[in-house]
Amino acid sequence: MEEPIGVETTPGGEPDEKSRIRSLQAGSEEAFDSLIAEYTAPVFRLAYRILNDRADAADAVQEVFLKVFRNIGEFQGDSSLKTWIYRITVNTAANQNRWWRRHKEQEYSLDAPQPGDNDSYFVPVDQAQNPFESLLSRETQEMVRTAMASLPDCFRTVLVLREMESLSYEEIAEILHISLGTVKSRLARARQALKSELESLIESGPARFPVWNPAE
Amino acid sequence: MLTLRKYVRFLTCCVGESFTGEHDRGNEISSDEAAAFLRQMPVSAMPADLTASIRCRIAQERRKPQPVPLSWRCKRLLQPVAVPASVGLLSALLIFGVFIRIFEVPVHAGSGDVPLTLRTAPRLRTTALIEGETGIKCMEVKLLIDQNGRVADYQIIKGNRTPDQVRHLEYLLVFTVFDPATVFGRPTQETVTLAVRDGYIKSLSL
Repeated sequence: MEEPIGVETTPGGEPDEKSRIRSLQAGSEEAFDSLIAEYTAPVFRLAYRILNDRADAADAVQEVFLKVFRNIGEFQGDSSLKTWIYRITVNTAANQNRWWRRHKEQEYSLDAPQPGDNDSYFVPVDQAQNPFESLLSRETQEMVRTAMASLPDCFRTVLVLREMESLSYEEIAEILHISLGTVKSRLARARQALKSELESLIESGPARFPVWNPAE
Repeated sequence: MLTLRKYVRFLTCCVGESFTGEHDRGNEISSDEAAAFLRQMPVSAMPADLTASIRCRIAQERRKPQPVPLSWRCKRLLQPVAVPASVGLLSALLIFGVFIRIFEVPVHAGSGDVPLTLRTAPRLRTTALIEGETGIKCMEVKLLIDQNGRVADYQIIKGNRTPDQVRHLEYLLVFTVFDPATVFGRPTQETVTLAVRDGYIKSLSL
């Protein structure tokens, strides 16, 4: 299985992880520094993909590490440390999503950038691309981002964990506290939903999203 | 770069083969390519100070005094008085158990108590004094006493029934008052047999 970037596991590294957990439980500052250095980027990436907001993702990451610090003493080692931290991240992001819906959905800031005004979240796909290909890539990204954002939370989470974080079905089942069969069926329904969203965007697309490509 | 249409076609195939997890067969693109298509979706750059913020918050958390559990507080509060309190309680129970019999006062029924037994008979309260010769030597009368303790009806069972004797008997009964019979403390009507001798009520029986 492909490991997410920034998360390293030691080969045959059960003793290492156990000793690391013991150090964390003993309150070792070095152990926490190492944990923060190793997991901040992947946790931020996961939180950002679920929350789709940079500031919220940063807040969620801080909450996640605080929860890890507070609860590491109760960690029994039934799952891997990575799975445990990802589970905390998913739960924290879900709580933040719920809180956002209750409190902030109706608020609009006059200073907030409107969709399309700010492309700061776009990353150039390939610097060697010509302007047309670059524009096409951005529009594709925007369509996928829009489609993902419109999915229900549970579908988006399972898609993010499987397709973007490349976690195994077993790990997803542990993180989401659901059975393996449920992971598979939920993933299938999430793909179906994503497909429907993308198709509807493509059909209504030419005005907003020109999705033809030079190869066609 | 993988096109969006190809990815949608891949998703269509995936939905057809939902649970197998093998999406490569018959697809234009492999599942790795499709996953890479999603993975290349941009992620905003992590705030530069995020790691420092996390370290700062954890340091604050370390300095924060740990909350003392309520059970520990209670234990600490009660520990010094635990033995004296236990001994005191045991002594109190012992003394109460031993000496309660000495101080026990028997309860006597008061004269004003209303008997609450199942059923009580009527009792004679007052009767009239008849002066002069009544002519009633010996007579037995069956009376019906109502809820107010007054004679509601009568029947002479034994004795002479001259008009003069009957008049004197009625005069006697009119001024005779009973405590009515009771059922569970509530007054009710009841019959009694009365023996009258020489103008006085001598005995009463149910």
